[in-house]
Amino acid sequence: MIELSPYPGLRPFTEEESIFFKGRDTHIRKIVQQLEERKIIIITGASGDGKSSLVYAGVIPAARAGFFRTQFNNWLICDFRPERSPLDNLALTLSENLKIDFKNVRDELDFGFSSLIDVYKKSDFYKDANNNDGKGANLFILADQFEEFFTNPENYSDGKASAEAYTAVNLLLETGRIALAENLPVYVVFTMRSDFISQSVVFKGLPEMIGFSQFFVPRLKRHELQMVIEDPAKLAGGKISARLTQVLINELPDGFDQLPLLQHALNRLWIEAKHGKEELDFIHLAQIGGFDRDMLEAQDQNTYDTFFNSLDNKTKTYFQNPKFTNILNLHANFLYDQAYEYVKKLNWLKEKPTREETDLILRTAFKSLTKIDNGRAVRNRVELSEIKYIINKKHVSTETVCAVLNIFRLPGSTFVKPFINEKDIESEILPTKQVLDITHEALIRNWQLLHQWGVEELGYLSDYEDLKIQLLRWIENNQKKSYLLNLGTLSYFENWFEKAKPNDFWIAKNENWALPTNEKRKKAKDVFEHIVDFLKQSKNHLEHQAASKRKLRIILFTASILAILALSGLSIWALNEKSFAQKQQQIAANQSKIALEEKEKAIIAQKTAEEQRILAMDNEKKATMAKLASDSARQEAIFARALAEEQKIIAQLETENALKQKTIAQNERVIAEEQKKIAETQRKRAISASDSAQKLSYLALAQTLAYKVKTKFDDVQLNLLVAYQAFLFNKNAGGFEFDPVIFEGLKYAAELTENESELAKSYNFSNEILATRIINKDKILILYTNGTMAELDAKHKVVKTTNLLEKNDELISSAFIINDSLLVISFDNYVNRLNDFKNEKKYTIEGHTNYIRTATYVPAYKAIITGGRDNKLSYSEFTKNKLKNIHQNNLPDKIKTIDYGKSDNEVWIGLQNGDIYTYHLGKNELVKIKSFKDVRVNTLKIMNNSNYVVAGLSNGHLVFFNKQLKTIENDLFVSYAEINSLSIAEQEDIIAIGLADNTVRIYQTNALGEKPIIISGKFEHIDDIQLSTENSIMLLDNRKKMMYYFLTPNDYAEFVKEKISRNFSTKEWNSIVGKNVPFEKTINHF
Amino acid sequence: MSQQSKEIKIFLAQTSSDTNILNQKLSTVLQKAGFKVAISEHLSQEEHTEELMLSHCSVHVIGDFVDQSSQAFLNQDFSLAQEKNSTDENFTIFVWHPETKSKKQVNSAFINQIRNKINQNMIFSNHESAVMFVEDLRGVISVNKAAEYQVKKTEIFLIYNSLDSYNAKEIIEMLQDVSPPETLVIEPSSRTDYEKYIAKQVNNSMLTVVYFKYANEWAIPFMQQIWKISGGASIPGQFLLIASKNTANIQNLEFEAPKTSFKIVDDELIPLEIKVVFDKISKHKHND
Repeated sequence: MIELSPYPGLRPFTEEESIFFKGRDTHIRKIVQQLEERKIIIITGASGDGKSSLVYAGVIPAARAGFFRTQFNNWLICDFRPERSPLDNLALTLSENLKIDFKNVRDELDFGFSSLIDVYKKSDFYKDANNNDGKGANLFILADQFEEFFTNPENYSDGKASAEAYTAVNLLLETGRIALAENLPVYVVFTMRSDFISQSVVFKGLPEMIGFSQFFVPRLKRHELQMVIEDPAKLAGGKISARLTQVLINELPDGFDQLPLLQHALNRLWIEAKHGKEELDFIHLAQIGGFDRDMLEAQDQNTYDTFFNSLDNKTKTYFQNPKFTNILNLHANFLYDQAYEYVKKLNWLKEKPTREETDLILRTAFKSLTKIDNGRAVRNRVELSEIKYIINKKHVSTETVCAVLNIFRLPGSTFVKPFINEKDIESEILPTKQVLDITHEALIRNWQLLHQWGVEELGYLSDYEDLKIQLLRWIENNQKKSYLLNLGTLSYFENWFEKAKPNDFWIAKNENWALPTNEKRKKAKDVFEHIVDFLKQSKNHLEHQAASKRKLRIILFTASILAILALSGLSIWALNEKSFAQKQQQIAANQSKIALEEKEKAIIAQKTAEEQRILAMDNEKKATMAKLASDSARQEAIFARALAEEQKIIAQLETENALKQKTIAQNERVIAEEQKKIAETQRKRAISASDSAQKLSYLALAQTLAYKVKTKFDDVQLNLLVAYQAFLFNKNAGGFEFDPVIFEGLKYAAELTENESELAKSYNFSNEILATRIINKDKILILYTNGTMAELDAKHKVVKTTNLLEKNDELISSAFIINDSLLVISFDNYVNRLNDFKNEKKYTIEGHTNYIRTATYVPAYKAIITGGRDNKLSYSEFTKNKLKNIHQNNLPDKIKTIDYGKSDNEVWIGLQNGDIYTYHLGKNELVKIKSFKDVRVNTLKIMNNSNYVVAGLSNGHLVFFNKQLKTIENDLFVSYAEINSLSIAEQEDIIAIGLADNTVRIYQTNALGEKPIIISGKFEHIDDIQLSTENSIMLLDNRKKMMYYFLTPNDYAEFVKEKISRNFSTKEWNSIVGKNVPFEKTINHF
Repeated sequence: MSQQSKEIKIFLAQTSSDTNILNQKLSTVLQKAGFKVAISEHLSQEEHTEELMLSHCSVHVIGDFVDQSSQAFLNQDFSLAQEKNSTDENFTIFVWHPETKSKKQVNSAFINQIRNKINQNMIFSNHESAVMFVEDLRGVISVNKAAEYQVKKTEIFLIYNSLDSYNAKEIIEMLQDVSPPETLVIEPSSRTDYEKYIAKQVNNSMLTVVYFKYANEWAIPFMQQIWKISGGASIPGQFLLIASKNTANIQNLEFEAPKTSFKIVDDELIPLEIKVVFDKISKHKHND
């Protein structure tokens, strides 16, 4: 029995492993036959379908074995990947195989066309039919991973191919053509991911070749999968139980990654079954985390329990959710956990990293090995030295990085290339310039930790892009201070800087500049220095402002104290005056008795008035002091002075009218009380200023905590607590209600509880949905592709179905539900029909020669307006039970979207060429409002209450028009991805935007400048979004799945709060929230 | 509908009450796919066993709520099918347990019991829909198991490349005294579908010899392929890969696999070496 595994795991089969490559025999035969006849073939398929394996382990061995009708027995296999220099790589493989000097080959290939054939003909391996001395060889050229012509910016950028890439493709196509024409033993094979087919138009002749000779790798049928699973084990002398085969086949996911996951699982099973010494069965599947223990037979359960009890606690947690798709995730997590212990044992590594450093190295390495392409995480080849520079720690060398990653390169793992060869010790230590690569993207999609890192990195990149915009604005405006960051955004980006720890290498890795390496690094360094400078200057500017404010606050505070004292003095004085005035009154009343007394009293009053005057002057002085300190104190001083003046007058008049004095004294008391209130307000403002500073720090803390949730603590409760506490801090500090970071933290914590039924309600449909509309909370309409209209209740139960098709109807090509009773259907034969399913009536819509894309109903006119792919806008009215076409208008391009505002006389229209028109209903008049260059107007919505029209464009901009003035009031850049759909809440307080990168962004209409909430996940393709009436958002994924998400942080907070069962311990609080933050009970009743 | 489908008869076994409607639908789908269907519920007791025996395969639908009495019926048909399965290697049992998202108590013990009994020629499927299930069923049944080529049982099967025709003729002559070999010449431009023929002939031969001298680049890849397509370690016979010492680059060639030996000998000793290996195998066979 052979020790090596007959299953390669995640990586493709090599030619040497072709003996174990089973299940594709008919496909190999078809490809061989096609190659024999046509000399050239492109093999396409989805990622993970096994294209490379099919060629390396199927077609090439068949050719070498003679199962390929051709001229010679011998074969020269010239395989290459385009990577960053396709022509060099092609020349290299030809040079090695044909034994011709590289430079000569390279120079010749530059001429394109027949050059490759000429090189072959000049070699010793070309013999014509009459002169075969046994040395002749067939030439097999394989361009593997052809999509690298499009994914590498050196080959393709800004929609154009580079000269080198173009020449390489020209050579390959011409080679195939000439080989066919001259019947040469030369064969050209491409492998390419099918999602790049549309880009093939960049290379002349390539689409034609695809049409001429293509093989689309089909899904394996059940019996073929059985061969894939069982035959290699048999060939290797092992056994696999039939029941295990059935379970594996049943558990295989549909779509991407089916085969890589299967091969990985089989490899693990083989190892678990002692390299095939035991029959592979359920017990082994359970022991690798792919089968529930309770489904095992009794004796196997005992075996499993023994195995399970031998595991450490952390590893046991990985077995909590046993299923097929968990196997790869479990394996990768296990390697991640073991990496530190593995590195400790390596003799050749002098300086061992700490556990934290090991985690950092792994996280950074895997993030570097992935990149974001059109919103998806894909593989990224990167040099070992680049990873070291991105980590940027002094004692972390390339050796250290290599040592840490080695556990993922071992024969049983093979997650990272190049793999370690156990027979070659030197393969353990990699050179600095070694290029690393993740074996297969299945690892990115199925290892949850890596996926999380990818999401985190995407977040960092998104923030980096945002920062770049701000930076650019500042630079373009000559670095004016007014373009520096404000406190909120500075905190945000400082936080980002702290988390992402960017440097010039990180920037160079993430930018798609088509530059040579050293120039790219130089540019990246430049950008990095600018960023650092920008942040620093923003901070300095704010500190300077804060310092000025502090001075002002001190002055204010002092003035407040003085004002308080002054006012207190004034109040006391005013009260004294009152009582004195009362006394005066008495004196004045007695004046009539004796003239002398009056005179004396008058003299006394005069004296008193003089005293009051002096007092008033005194007060004036005090008030003036306060005035000097601050504006408000000045106001008070002026007031006090006025008061003093008034008092002076009162004192002078005192002898004349005691009653008046009494009244005035009373007035003074009221005024004095007012002054007291003002002084109190001043005091409060001073306190409030220091409150604001405190609030800001709580807001920043809330953000930090929300980010911390994503580091994912072991204890789910802790995650919930941290997320909810962040929410509370934000709320109590008056933070933005719709803060996306808070939202993300809560959502993340909520999803850890895995209560999917309460969280994101998800409904799968077996039939494909063509159109859907949420009418109200109790009614949802769905039109299936088979023409059945279903009405669903709030629980998504079907209440009613109606078949809308007639006997001779063609296939439905598009449909549009206008409202709860009207629906437009377009058929393949361009017949368009309006269904009034409430009244069970059907009308043919005239006026179109192609599909209708969009429609709206105008109740006031009892009319339907439809826009089609034929560039026509058609207006039809209901008259006497008929639908009569009244007007047709031709527009410059296809109509993508129309909308009608209530009680308006016009309809707004968006076109494919970027034009926006209005159509006046009464006048049948079209008016062009705006023309956007090089964009499409994908969606339009009218906000009836707010008087705006919102347009979603293909360049990711959301444009707000004033409905009356027809001018642009706001232009919001949402994302680099295309805006596909829009939904506006009934209250018009929320806008939801569906984007081509399969994310949804949610804005508050009164806070468009704030960052939006982003909903992202493992969506295949978001076809539609609608805001439901229950404060949630519905996403239609891949036309078969409806998913609902909470819309606001408040909703998630409510959910999370219910799940919390304890509070922070003091230790947890100090470590996570901070020692300097006063302890709080997150949930009061615990 | 294909003619081939029309000839295939499927026995649709009894099912529990919770899957009655599904069973009926399945019967219709099977007929639409071109199969003849014998529905157990419509048959009398005598017809029951007879129809099962005449069918190419049986289909057993299991739901989530199989009560005790229904289990008895299911077991009865299942046992009959297993009996037929044990005597007829071409008879396949299909068990269909459509996946539901039901959170109610599932009859998991019964289903586990069925799942643990799965053996060769039994398929356990949990597709959601009847159409998907029948697609799978049709794929399994229509696999062409029989090879087109007529082969005969032989002791020595000798394969060589056309480049080595001259030397091979001498070897064949000398082997006539040992055992007249069945031979096959591999021509690069030939239209013959070698794979199927070789796969069948190897399994009807005691010793398969692949000889090469000048076709050194062809031999190892060829050996790998025929080892694979013939069944590798599970073949009844043995492989012998034999090369001349004078073969170019011979020191760099190697091949190791179960039931295969690789010998490099002088030209004149090749027939003798073949005889030695053949004698060893014959001796083992007699001793078994």
